[in-house]
Amino acid sequence: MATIVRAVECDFPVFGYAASGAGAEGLVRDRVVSLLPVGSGARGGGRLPRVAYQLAQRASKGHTLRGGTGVVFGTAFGCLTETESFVSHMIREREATPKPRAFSSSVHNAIASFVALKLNARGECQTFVHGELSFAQALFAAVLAHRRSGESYWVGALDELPAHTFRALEQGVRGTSAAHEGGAVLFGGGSEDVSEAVAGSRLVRIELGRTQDVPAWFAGSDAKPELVLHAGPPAPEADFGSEPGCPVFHAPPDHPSSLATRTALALSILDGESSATLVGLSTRPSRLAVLGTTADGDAALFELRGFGA
Amino acid sequence: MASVLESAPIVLTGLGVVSAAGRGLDATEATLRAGRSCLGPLTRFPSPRNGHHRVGEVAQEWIADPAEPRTRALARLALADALDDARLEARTRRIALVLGTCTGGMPETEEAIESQLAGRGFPERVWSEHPCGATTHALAEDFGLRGPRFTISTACSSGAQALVIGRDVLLAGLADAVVAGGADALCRLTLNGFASLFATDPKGCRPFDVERDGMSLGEGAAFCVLEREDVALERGARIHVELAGAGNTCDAFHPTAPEPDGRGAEAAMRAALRDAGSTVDAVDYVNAHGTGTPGNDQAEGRALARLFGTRIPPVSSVKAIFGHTLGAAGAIEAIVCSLGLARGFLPGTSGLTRFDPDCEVEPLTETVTASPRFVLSNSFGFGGNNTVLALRRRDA
Repeated sequence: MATIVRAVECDFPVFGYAASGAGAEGLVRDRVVSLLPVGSGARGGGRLPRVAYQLAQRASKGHTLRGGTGVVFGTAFGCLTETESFVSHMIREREATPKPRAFSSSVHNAIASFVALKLNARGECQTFVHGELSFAQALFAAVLAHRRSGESYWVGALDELPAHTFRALEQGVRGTSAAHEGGAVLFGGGSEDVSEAVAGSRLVRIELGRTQDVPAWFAGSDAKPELVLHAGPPAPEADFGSEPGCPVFHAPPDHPSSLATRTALALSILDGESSATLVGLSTRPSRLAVLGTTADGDAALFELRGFGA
Repeated sequence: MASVLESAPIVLTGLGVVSAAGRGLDATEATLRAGRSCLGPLTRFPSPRNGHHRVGEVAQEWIADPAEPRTRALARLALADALDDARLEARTRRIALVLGTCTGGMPETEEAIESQLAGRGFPERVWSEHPCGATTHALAEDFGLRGPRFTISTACSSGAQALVIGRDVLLAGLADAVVAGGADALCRLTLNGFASLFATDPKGCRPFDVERDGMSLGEGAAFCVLEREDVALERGARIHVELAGAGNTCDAFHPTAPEPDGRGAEAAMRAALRDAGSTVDAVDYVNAHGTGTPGNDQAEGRALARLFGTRIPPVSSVKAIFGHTLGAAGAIEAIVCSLGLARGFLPGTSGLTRFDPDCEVEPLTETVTASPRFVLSNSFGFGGNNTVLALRRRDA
């Protein structure tokens, strides 16, 4: 017998987070990971898997990990470096000597699987590949999985921009939205006493749907967020109607995983690590929302609160 | 903290499938009952591997527009059939779409990179097909699906995982119904990739056989319409089976190889049973992942032996019938299980002639008439991404 819940209301504590690349500039140095992964611990994986592993390590720093911990990731384009490497070599060599390492590292779920392997996470391992909403779908899956299991989850999204893709962008080819790369990982869930957490916030609401659903997500809400951080095509206000009834800080996505870095920034502002002035607020907020919309008409909303709120 | 609103089973009210066995439920059932392998020579595209590998190709006669990206064309067939089978008018309800896929627009990406290497630049049409989500969006638009869209890629468990996410979407109240499944077309990347890992058997895959030497790739698509039971009954829908539970785990062992003792696979099966509120004694059949690679079959066999002990239910693999359709496999096999439950049979293991005792579990070789009530369907992917579905007959 399955249990029906409303995912729109949830209580998913976030204990740590880290970000990489474009959109991570507003975070304190300790929460930023280079897109050029270094260190022997990250050996063995492709570029994005290694960055993801270091982001996950940083996000869960100081927390006791259990074998049941899950890894849920998003990526719009996947491990393009290895995909390009494998396909280019295959074409040049006329399929004579394909490269096994590049193949196994090219699959989209190589990122989450590498993190799980390195951190011995034997719980759920999922990878969403739905463009700029991949992170939102990963967060949705982690929230429901946490509800079932009570386990902790690394949730993140990452995208990169290797040579062929970059050239495609230079030519103005559709399908890649921004000439940057990056992403973020957060660590949350679990069954620990959240009052003992020294820093962090909690996700209290998540919505997934289409852009025409956005006004309904804001209508009738008793406690409005103090600010909506929006990542998506410009002028979303036209779609909101009279909602959301609070200020909107709009910035176009830096890269396909911008929703993840934008969420990391919101968490940092709620924690007081980053200045609220970065998003046009004069004082530290206790309740922020992150809204993602895409040219394809997808939409997602997360509402975050500081632990004290 | 959210409150639990209610409890209700999730049921499958529409099924659509296309594979090397043909299009539709009847063609699939007939092939399964005959135990006929649909593997043959690769003809889809020129390759040095033509003639050296047996694959499961979908007959070109089903493809209405040869210019359409192949994965999308395959998905379109199965999606149309699933909606038709469910007698569900897409435009009158909020229907979500969940696609599981490994390669998405990879055939087009190969073309784009080849073009770039030849100095002709990137053709826009093909490059825009690379993101897996592009397939999902195109299908949702064409079929008028107004609910949220999801795309998931957990390697060879993607199709099964799509059904799990579809169930979550229903439980979260995000849609009235969900069409969930998987699709993957044959392409040079997977053909050469698995060959580079020495994971393909030139003679065609022979799951659990003592001489097995790898998998055979295939292509196809399958979709299931998922609804809450009360909603389905209210509209008078025909219910095929109940999606009673699911289990997800990760081996956390190796990028491509399964954990040799199948601990992750066992944990996923236990999780699915727990989720379904059931026990090993209730299991009437297990559809094995059964790829035919030495490592997978041995690990899976060990997991089954440990889970079931002395009472091992009938087990079989259908990979030698369809080929390993990667992102579609979990969804195709969910439909195989649904057909077995609803129409009373258990498929045999085509390709198996001499059982490998190291696999510990001896699978069915021939298709048998039976009356299963509760079955498990295993799907295990690269990176140790394990998904197990528990399906129950409606009157059980």
